[in-house]
Amino acid sequence: MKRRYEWRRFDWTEPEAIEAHLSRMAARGWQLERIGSLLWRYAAAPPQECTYAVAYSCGDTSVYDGTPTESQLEYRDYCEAAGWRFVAGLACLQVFRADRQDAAPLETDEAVKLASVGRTLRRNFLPAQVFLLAFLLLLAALLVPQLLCRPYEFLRSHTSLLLLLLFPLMLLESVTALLHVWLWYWKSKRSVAAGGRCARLSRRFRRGRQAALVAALLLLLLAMAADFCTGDPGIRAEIAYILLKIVLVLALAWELLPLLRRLGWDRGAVGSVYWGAVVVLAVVLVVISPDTSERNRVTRAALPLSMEDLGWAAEGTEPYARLSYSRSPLLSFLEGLDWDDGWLRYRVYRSPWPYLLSCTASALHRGLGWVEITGDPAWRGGRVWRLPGVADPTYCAAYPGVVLYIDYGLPPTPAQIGMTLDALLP
Amino acid sequence: MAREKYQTLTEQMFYILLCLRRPCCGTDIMEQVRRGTGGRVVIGPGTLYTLLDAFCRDGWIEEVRVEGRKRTYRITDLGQARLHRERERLGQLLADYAAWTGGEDG
Repeated sequence: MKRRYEWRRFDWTEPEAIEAHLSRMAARGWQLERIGSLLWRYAAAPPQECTYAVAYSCGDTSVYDGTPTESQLEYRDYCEAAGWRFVAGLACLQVFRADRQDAAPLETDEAVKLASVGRTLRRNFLPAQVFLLAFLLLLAALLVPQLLCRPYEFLRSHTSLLLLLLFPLMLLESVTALLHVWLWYWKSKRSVAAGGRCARLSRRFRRGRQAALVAALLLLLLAMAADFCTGDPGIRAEIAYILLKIVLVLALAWELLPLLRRLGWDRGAVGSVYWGAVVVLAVVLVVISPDTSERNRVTRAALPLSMEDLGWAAEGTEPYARLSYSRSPLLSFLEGLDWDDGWLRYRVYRSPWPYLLSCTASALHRGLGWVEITGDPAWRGGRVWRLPGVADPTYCAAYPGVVLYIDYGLPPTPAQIGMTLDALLP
Repeated sequence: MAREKYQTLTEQMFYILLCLRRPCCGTDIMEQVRRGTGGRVVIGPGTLYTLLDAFCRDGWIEEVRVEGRKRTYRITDLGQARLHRERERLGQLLADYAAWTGGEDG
């Protein structure tokens, strides 16, 4: 049988919109067959005019229960007696289709309907939404200090930059979703108390929210593609790993719960296995992060500046050289490492935005007692700081458009500093 | 659903309680109300289910028989008192109307 899937596009607060949409689909030859958490399945059928009704009957239902509960079956019996045939359901949400022209509406008392939807919102929507908001706020609390301390880490690639933009957007979406529901409930309560109907909010607001999220996700994919095209093998591996994570999370969200429900286990077992799998996957994704730095291994000759260039290369040892680079509209980044008996490690940040470079330089030489040595003629007029008291001299130097961070394995001579600047400055 | 705070019953609540003076199940209630009111009052299955559940919780009605999924309910003394109070309220409204209009509207 021909089938099609559709992304769930409706809120809990708009049963009328769901009913109208299902009727339109039936008129086009698609009958609703199954409701999933994210995807709704339709089966091809001869086009016909159908009246649908959406009901929220919580009772003792659970998303972990594959089989309908006694109270749901009893509810369906009532609906059947009134001329409504059960079509599909997910937890509290149940969809019916009218078998008779004279079938009475499922809900004939707006106050009862409001109480029923309100109960569903409290049991299903609010806990998940509040949990998501709390999670996002926790992430914000962790992210903002890092952003202030190491802004260059977030600004140096398209992906990290867009992730940074996506985060407040998700936060905004979560808050506005809560506000939207609260507004609907408040308006409905007032309307019902005055003898009217439950509120119907404009769908433009929700559509706008969804469009913004979809646009942001598309931009993120574009950013990933842009980073992928920079050619840095380490970034390519990281992007592949991020995509794998997304696929795993989506597969878990879409498929595992329906699969477990179909096994016919009791809801406790389904819930335990599902959340066990979520925790295991989260730990696996966070803890097991493959080391992609090996992919950036290059020959010494590929480095813009090597120990050989500075006359420090040891004879007869196998050098280890690594080069990585990334770029965003705000900041570009290059990191080189050359290592045999000693080492040379440097990072170069470039940006057309002086303020960002200034923030980057400040963040790089913050703490640990960095000493400013600006005026040393070897550094050709740049603002320079040195990290004192360490065996390997480490410098941070700021020039118009560029910030360097260099860790020399040995004390450099003025000539070697000159060679460094020749190689790394534009 | 505690309607007590509204002090009044909706028509649907009123007719459900009225039906349950004799034991009957949900589907019978829908039919009885529709027939008894000549189709003027219709109780949707969703509304009926929610109200029966709420009345049971509030002790206005009780389950007297369960056959499979078919549950038969009957009004309790508390429900009967509530129904009686509503009848008095409606009677008072009619009396007030008659007194205030002097029976002009017939």
